[in-house]
Amino acid sequence: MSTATEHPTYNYKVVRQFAIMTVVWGIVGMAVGVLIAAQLVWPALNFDIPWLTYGRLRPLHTNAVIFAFGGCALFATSYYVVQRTCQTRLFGGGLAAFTFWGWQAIIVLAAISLPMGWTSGKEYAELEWPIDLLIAVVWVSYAIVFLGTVKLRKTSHIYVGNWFYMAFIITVAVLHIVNSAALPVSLTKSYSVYPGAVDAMVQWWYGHNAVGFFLTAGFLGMMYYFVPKQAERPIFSYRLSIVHFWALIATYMWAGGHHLHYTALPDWTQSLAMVMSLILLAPSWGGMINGMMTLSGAWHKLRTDPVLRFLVVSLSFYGMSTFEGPMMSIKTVNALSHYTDWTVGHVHAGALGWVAMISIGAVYHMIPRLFGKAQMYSVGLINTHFWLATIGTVLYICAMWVNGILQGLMWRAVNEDGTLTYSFVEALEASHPGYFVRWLGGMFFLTGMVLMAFNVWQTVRKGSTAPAADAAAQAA
Amino acid sequence: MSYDVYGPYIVVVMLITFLALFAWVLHPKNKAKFDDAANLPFDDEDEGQDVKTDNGRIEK
Repeated sequence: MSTATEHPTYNYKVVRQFAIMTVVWGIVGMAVGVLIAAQLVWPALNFDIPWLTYGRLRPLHTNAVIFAFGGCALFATSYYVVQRTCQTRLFGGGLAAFTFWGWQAIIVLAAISLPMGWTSGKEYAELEWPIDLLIAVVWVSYAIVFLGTVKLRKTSHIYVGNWFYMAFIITVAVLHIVNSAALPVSLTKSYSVYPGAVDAMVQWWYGHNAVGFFLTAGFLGMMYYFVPKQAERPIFSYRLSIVHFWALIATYMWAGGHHLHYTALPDWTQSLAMVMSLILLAPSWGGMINGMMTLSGAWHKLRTDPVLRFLVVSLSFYGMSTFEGPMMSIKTVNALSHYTDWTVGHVHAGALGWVAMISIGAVYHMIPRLFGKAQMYSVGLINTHFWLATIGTVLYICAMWVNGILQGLMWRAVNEDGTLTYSFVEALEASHPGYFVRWLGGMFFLTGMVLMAFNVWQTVRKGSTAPAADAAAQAA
Repeated sequence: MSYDVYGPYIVVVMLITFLALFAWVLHPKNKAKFDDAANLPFDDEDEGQDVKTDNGRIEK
């Protein structure tokens, strides 16, 4: 990886580190996902070893793909985009390096502590309090680096992509610090400071805004830079992007209660969450249409450019899952879908289709530029990766739709005398084929990631045969 | 003051905020500024690196 020349203006080192680790953690996190999917088909695969049981590996999978893979992709792209759109060097070189090494340390600590069974039991916030403290320090450093760079900008306007990144960084800091407030009883065990239903509401205020700001606003920041850049034309409507930004961040905050329909949460809170979730469709689709229409007049580029195809298909999955989400938040639909595999399918339509695909497209766009190459080692392999990822995602979400509706209907079926028609195990047995198809889809997606790792390695290694960017451009 | 008193006004304040946002965004005077901002991703070209190499892909 010594082929790259230092950029005179921009700090590319930290971007390169995060971009490479995006691929590495992507493979690790998805491999764990494929393993636990296989455990649901062939339960013997936990080998009766406590560290390999589903209950411990599942949070490892979610943390690895969201915070390790997605997190590294967000760090890499945000540092890249903010420098290039502010036309200035990243603020705080040492602090930026600290965010890289600090974030990697957190990931390694998660990979050790979760299989050990140390967990605070809060979904997507399972890590115990010492790690939570480290996350808070790294995240505040990230905010200082990013906001410091925006402040030093040479341009008069702050590009809309940076607005999304800023909202993501600031909100995640607030969410993490409030939701992780806990009373430690030992180094590896703590209890939430919130009681009962309040704890549940705080947890899902955090949980849904982790979706809204980590997995949506952050990746929309990515979208607003990489889609125009790869399509070589400015965003369809900059004015729509401003409305999109303010409407999205004003609405997401209210929607978390839809994770707690028909629970001890006050009924009006559930209804409010449902209404705000339905309203969310408007800004979500506004953003999706804005990204898609950027290609108007350039649709032919999709035929030859698999990187652009990744970016555009990610927007299609974004549109699909942001339609599905509001629909599932309607209380009567939720009565069928909640606690079933439909929810799991919905999450993966967003996670594989939107988050992973836009990250993969952005990394394919950045890698050659970061390492002084004109293009990736193999454009053909990017195309193969695209199809593996698309087929894998479709297999996954279709299997989960079938399983989810099947489970929901079997669980609620009652006989004339009011007894349940099916036992839980009968619904589980009926889900078996769907679990196999889900595992198969995961294998497709993971195989694509392995191809990506090979392609990236062949592009960045010493003596790479990927064509270098011409000398003048490389020096610039 | 309790939520029962000021609660209904929150919706009104949000509505006014959004109308003001739309007025600002749609005001003709601001159009040039937004058009400039929309081109920010292309103002960073390293002496035309991206344009020249086109990420290595040739248009057909």
